Amino acid sequence: MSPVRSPVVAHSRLAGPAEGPGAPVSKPPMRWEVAVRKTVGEGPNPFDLDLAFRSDASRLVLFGPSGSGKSLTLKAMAGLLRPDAGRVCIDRRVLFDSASGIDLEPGRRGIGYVFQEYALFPHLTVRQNVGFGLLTGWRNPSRDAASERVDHWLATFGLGGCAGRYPDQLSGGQRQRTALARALVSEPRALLLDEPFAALDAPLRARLRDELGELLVQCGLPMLLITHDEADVDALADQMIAIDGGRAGP
Amino acid sequence: MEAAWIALALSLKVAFWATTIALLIGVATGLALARAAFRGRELLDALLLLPMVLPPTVLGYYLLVVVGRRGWLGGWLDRVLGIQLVFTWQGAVLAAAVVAFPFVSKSARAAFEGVDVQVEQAARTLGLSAAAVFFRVTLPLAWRGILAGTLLAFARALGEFGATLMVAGSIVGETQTLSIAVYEAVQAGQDELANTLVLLISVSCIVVLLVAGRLAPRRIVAPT
Repeated sequence: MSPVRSPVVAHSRLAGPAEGPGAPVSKPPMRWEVAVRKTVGEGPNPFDLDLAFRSDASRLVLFGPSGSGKSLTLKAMAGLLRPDAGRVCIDRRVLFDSASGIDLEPGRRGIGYVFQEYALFPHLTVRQNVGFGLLTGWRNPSRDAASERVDHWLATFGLGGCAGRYPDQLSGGQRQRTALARALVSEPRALLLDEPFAALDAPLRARLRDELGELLVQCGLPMLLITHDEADVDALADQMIAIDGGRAGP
Repeated sequence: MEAAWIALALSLKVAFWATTIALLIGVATGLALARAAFRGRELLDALLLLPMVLPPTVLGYYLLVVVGRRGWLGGWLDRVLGIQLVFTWQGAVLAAAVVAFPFVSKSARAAFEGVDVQVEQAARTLGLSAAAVFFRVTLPLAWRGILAGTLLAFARALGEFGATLMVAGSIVGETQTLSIAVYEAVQAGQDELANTLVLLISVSCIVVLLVAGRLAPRRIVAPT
């Protein structure tokens, strides 16, 4: 493949910092506008991420093999990784823009993030996990703290019966729903999902894929999912962007 | 007989403050070593372990050079703040803290490295500040390991002998801790006192271990 980018979605190259904030951006705003450049690793062969895409899809899937840079991209979008340069704009809000020095904290980006293997808090119950983001102070919600919003999401995701359990006492499906409820309780504007089925065995994966699809329809949020599994693309994508070697491909 | 109790009380006081200092500094350095990437990290790790392997007398000598009245730090403390560490119980605390600190930093580093970075990142995306993440996620997941190291540090501080003797001397009621008192008693042929002291320190250590067992959380990981 030629090193020249052939972006799926019409897009120009990443605007360099030299162009400054006054650089012409004449395209109409879209739901996902991402351009990130990041070099990670040292030595003779650092990994070079230089990825740009724009899309209005409500269910967008970044598809690529492991090590292609899709996870870095997702982390950059969520503010967990600072790009060397670029711009991240979700739902018409600028979250990061190296040209104008905008870099919102992860918690202020209005993004729900579902981690690979879910990254539930192992020391907290399902109820505490779900209510975690409602308190931003230095103390965790107590085991039996009452909260209507938490109750609502527990009921929505059928987690009422295991609200008092710890993550290692849950089934794979319950873990995934807990992770989703935890992300949704702070009412994000978009959902980012990092390989949500990679940790599961095949039959469960198929079931949870359907389940997730339904839940996403229910909550009506735009989502961006990264995966290396084509079945995820078939089941969940309105639009797919292939990524390889840190670049978007055809 | 009363001398034994005085020595025990002093030992506990010195070990308590030494452990407190070791805990604070040990947790901070453990966290830095586990999470921050900087040049010379492994060299720093090795240097911080030195108090574990150096002979306590050598350590005591270093401390004298630094905090002695003519030492560069000790001279400043004496002149500016009027603080003297040599031949005081605070000096004994310093010596015990230096000796005990690697137990905390080593175990804290391991404990922090055992905390999944993604779990911390999840907390960040849910709106927590870095400090809140530390107190609500990192510390609750790491404290068991830190506690284990802290108890070892306490036991080590309680038994500290060489560096303490070099820095603080052996002043009854002021710097003569239990372990030093044992030595003095044996030297002076006071076998009965020595027996009492040895019994006291053994019982103290057993109590510490029992309390530790009690303090350990019933469940960090839920039973299945």
